[in-house]
Amino acid sequence: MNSLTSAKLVVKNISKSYGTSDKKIGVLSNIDLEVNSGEFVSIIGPNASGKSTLIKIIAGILPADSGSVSLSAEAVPHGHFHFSKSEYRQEKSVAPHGHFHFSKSEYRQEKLVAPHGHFHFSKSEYRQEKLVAYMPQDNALLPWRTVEENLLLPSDVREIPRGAMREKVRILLKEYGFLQYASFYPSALSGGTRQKIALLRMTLHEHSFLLLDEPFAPLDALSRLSAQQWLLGLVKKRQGSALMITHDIREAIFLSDVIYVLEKSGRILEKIRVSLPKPRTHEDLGTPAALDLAKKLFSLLLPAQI
Amino acid sequence: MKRFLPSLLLLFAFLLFWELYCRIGNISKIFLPAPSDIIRALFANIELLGMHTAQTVLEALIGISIAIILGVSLAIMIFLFPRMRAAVYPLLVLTQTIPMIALAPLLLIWFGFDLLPKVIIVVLYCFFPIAIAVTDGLSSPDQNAVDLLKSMRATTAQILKYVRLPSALPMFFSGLRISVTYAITGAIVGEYVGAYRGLGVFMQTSANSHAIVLVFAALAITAAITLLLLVSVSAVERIVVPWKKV
Repeated sequence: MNSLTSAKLVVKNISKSYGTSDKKIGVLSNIDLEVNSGEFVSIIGPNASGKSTLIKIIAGILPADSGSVSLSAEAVPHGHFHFSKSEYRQEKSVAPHGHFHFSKSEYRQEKLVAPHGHFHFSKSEYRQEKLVAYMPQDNALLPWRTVEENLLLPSDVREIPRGAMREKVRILLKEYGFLQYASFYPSALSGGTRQKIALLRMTLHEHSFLLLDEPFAPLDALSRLSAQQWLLGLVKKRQGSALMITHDIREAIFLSDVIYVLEKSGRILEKIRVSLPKPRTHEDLGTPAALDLAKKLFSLLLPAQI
Repeated sequence: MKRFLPSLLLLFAFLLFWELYCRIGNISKIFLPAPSDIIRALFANIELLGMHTAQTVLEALIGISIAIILGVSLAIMIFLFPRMRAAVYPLLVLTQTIPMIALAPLLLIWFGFDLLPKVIIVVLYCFFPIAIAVTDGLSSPDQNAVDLLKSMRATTAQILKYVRLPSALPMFFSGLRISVTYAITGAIVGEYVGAYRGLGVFMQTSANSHAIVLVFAALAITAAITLLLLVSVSAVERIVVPWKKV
């Protein structure tokens, strides 16, 4: 099993507006947040509060008007590294900084080879590429690709030869009991299975930071509960960090270590630490602490909704 | 087959009514031949009709192939260079306002009686639906899928390859279905104006010699080929777009 190196995300003073200079509509205003290594953080807010815009800015899909997003892995060293080839191969989670001879595609193909010479990624590009995996609102499994090919999509984009990756995909599918669906098109799968396959796609390249935009929105209530439990297991097993957008209070409480409440004007209203013990079950949502938290979130969101 | 049953029943009822109308009404074969007369004439002239049909089908297939290449290429260019859209789109629409029957004699003067002018007419007929369908298909993919690729730092070419082109395939086939229905008509229009061979020439000479039954026989073949082309497009679509039930 691959384990991931956890990352820390720091978002500072992000603002975003849409429209022309005459008619600007502010979507996000001076957003500050952070996600520490191994944390599961949710952003909860009413519709049109800029949640999806924020996660797209963090994923590098949209530019922000101002502010910064920085990601760092605990194991990312600065300056020159001093590994021998064999040491480097053993320690693949280390992000190198220094001189390499690889082209981007060569490096993507062979992360394990000890590099030498000039390296063409900028530090931020490297970190972003290695660390972040994004899942859009509807799983975005490509309908023309089978389950296996959908999992191969990130490596196809990185121009990694399919041979070795196919084996890796099959091992991952087997590990999570989905191998029998490898040759299925997404339309043949249940909603819950589709979401889980999309989540697995995020973990294949050892991304340590998962960005999830309402991952369970398309699911019915029962499938949602099982998928939430499954996601917690996945994140724990992969030792990753996650930032999730949701508008479901119970989902946020069940999954999160920290919840940021976003108000309609696109500002952070409050940061709340979820103190429920871990590991959690859905029964924990009936405890007085969880109910109090739900009540608090509801009272924060209700005026935000208006 | 089941979904075509109502159409087949309706067609059968229409042919039966036509047959009875001709027989009971004692209608002259020179004026309106009965379906049974048309079938007899078709088999009696099968070799001659076969030769003309082969020519028309050849013109149509070459024309539709060129239309596919041009239509898809132009759609990709319009997508890659958005400013081109404003320049080219109105011209595309303009090509459809030109009556082909007026253009055909000019093409004949410029390019002679051989294959080329007919192929050009077929291309002009078929190119537009394909180009428009693919242009719309490329510019309206699932935005979530595009965002996903962007988050993976995919290039524009990769987004085109992995998302936009596959998602435009169903629309391409919709455009192609419209185009193939025009293809045979386009070839016949070209032949009508001037040709050595083809169903258009056959229909014209038959009509001039008052052999109305042969005109109907050629029309029946035209309908059958168009139908066959449509079925072929659907069959190819089922292979190329297996994720979508056709």
